[in-house]
Amino acid sequence: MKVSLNWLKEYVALDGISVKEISNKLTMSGLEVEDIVEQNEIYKNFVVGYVKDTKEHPNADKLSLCTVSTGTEDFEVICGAPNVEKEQKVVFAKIGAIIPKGKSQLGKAKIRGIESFGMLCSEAELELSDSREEIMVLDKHLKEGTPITEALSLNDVIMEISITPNRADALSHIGVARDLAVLLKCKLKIPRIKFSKSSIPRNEQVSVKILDTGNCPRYVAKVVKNITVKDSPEWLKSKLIAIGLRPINNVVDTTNFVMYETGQPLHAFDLKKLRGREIIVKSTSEESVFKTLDSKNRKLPAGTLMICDADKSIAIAGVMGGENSEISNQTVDIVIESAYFNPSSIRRTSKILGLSTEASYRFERGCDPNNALYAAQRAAQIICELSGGEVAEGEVDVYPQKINECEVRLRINRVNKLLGYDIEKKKILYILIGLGFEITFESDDELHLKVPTYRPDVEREADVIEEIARINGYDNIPTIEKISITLDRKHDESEFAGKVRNIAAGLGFYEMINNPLQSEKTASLIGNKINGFEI
Amino acid sequence: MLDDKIKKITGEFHREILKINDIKKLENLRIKYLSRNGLISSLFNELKNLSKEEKPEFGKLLNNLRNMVTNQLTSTRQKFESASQGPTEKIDLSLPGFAGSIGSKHILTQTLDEIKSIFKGMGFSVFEGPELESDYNNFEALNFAPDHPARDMQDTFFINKDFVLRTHTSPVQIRVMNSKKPPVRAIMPGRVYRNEAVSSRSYCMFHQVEGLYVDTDVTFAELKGTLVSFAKQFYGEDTKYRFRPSFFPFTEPSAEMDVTCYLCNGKQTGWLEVLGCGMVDPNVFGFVGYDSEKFTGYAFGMGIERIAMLKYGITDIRVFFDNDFRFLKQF
Repeated sequence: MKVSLNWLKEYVALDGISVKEISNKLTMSGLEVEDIVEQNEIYKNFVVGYVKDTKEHPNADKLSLCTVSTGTEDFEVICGAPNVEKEQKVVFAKIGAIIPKGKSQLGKAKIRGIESFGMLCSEAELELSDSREEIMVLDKHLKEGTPITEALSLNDVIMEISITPNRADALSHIGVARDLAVLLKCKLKIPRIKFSKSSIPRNEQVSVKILDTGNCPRYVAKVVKNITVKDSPEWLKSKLIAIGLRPINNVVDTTNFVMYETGQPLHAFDLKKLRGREIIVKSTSEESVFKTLDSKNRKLPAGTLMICDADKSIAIAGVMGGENSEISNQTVDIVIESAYFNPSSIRRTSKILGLSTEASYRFERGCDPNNALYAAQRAAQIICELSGGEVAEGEVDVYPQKINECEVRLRINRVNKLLGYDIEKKKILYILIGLGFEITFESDDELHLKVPTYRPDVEREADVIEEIARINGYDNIPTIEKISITLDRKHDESEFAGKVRNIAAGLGFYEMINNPLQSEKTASLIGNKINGFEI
Repeated sequence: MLDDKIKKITGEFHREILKINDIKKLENLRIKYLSRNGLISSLFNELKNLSKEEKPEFGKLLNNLRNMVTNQLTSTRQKFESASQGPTEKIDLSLPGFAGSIGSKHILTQTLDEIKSIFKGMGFSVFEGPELESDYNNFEALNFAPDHPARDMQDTFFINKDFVLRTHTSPVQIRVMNSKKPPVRAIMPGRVYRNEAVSSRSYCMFHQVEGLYVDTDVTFAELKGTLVSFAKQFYGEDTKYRFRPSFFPFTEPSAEMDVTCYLCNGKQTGWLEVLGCGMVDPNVFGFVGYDSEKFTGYAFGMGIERIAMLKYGITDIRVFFDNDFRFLKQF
């Protein structure tokens, strides 16, 4: 998962701590940083350029010959984009720049007999979006010569973190920040929700009915009315671009933003497209076909958990929404879905359909059922801010059986028994409280804990000991060189084969290792017809 | 009396002829024994002093002696003559021998042999298990819950609903623990299969070696000690190492060990991930009927191909299984 350093800084104070130290802390506590991309590095040879003049290339119809100024110097640049015009502000790549897409270094080039001293870039070449044909045109007020890292706030550091399947909690910026806060001994700041008083009465809400509570234990629906769907503001776009997402519109971008912030997948429906102001969550009783919002018809087996309105399916629960209820530029009223689905059910559906999405990836690893309401409120608040809409009063939160925190007993002496060294109780308490555990009982040799529901992987004493060990650092576990072992009889089941190999090698044979998985045809070459079977 | 003389001359002749080393001395010897005034002629002269009855008996003995001496001198002469015609026959110890060509064990076998020998030195037994394994041993008893995303960590060849080509050597842990009460201190090498696209970096089949130690009071600190000792023996005394938290369903806590490899001599830089390890998960003890209150244990596993590739600078995993003679002969 891509994690933005600027984004993390909103939840944990990281100023004055080097990227190297942050990534090392994360790696050494179980969130392995596989790659670090510093935008300052990538965009260091790109500046704002002013197109002083353009004329046609004498030897090519589709190329223009531009004079580009960086304030102090003018450059002759050949450009193939159809949208280049006089007096534009553009992204100018100097000789020596490494173009992010393709990673090739820009040199002086002779194009159809004329030399070009640089390049005007498209968003695709800068890896800022997929738009490839046209060059990127910048705000007229930007001063030529300004580094684009400054002009476009491309000063982020992106860490690629490999998240192991047990760490569902770390599939979000707040989740990663929580570990960092404990590791760096600082506070985790979680954004607060503030709604102004609503003028939209309760009866304008939707009603939610869950018919399969086993597979959908909680469903929160939040109605936001009178919105304007448009492009997201720059701060939101740049956050999504930083982690490799394509901005779409303020509603979809917000639901994505909140998912990458909290780990809770959200979906927004166009309220007008729902029949009967009703949401029903149920499993299908027979095979059916459903068109998802990527315009593909999906064949669903019986027993697929679906989100429906009064008379039709509108989304495959936890996997992908339907085209029939998709947000469009005409949408004015929306319903935000924030639910908790049974991980096994989502995994089954995703496997059968061969369709894995960011949402299904999180649901099948286990989201926090007790964070669904917060995420819905957070998204509703941001959408209101960005689109001028208003949140309907009250909550629609169907949660028939609350999922409680798991309780675990930790015996302090088991920490030493398993790890081989003592950790002070004070330290243990600091780590566990920092990770969100609640201490319900404490004595000299025992702690009783309530495990936060965003940690479905922690269920037993050994799991808690791992949490303590990883935050305290595996480096602090001693490396002992003296152990006592029970004397056992010599036993080597590979000895005979080893002797045969030695003798054969002595007789002049070279050992081969073959792939036992062979086609029926190859296997039959030994003489007899071999009947293969498929695996 | 004549009898004694015959015996004495016979003895003398045998001693003398052994000392002869050239043809001239041989001629002198012939003159000494066979010439008209030689030793044997003088014995014949003594025959006339014998009685009629003794004459034929001694005559016969003397004839035998003369024939024996004549034959020996002739054969010795022939030996010298034939030797003087060609070069003297001598053994040249510096010449290469005609040893039949010696083959070699596959480099993966050699790598595994080295790993085995290090762990055997630390008191580990060696166990093996089948490549066709039950889903239960390969996954369930190792705490991979059905429907858990952890199953995605290993792309599996399914034979049918209940059997798979084992995706790791870890099921041998289950087999060993099911067959034996603690203490268990064993390594388990073998071949494993993954349903992955074949490329320079991955193959549908490869080799692993697994380690397991279960007893009372086994700790993570001992696991670190054992693996660090292994790494220093295998990768070199100056090897640096680190243990990072990780995740495997069958260990808790889990770790990955990275080393800086000095044997790789700059072919690789930075930390190299070489093995996964951890303390045996209490659920695994539950499946094999060990008391997790009484016993603790550690387990570790590593891929042989990966280690051999690092150590010998091999960049394409497929060459291990191409069996190109030019490759096999290098090791």
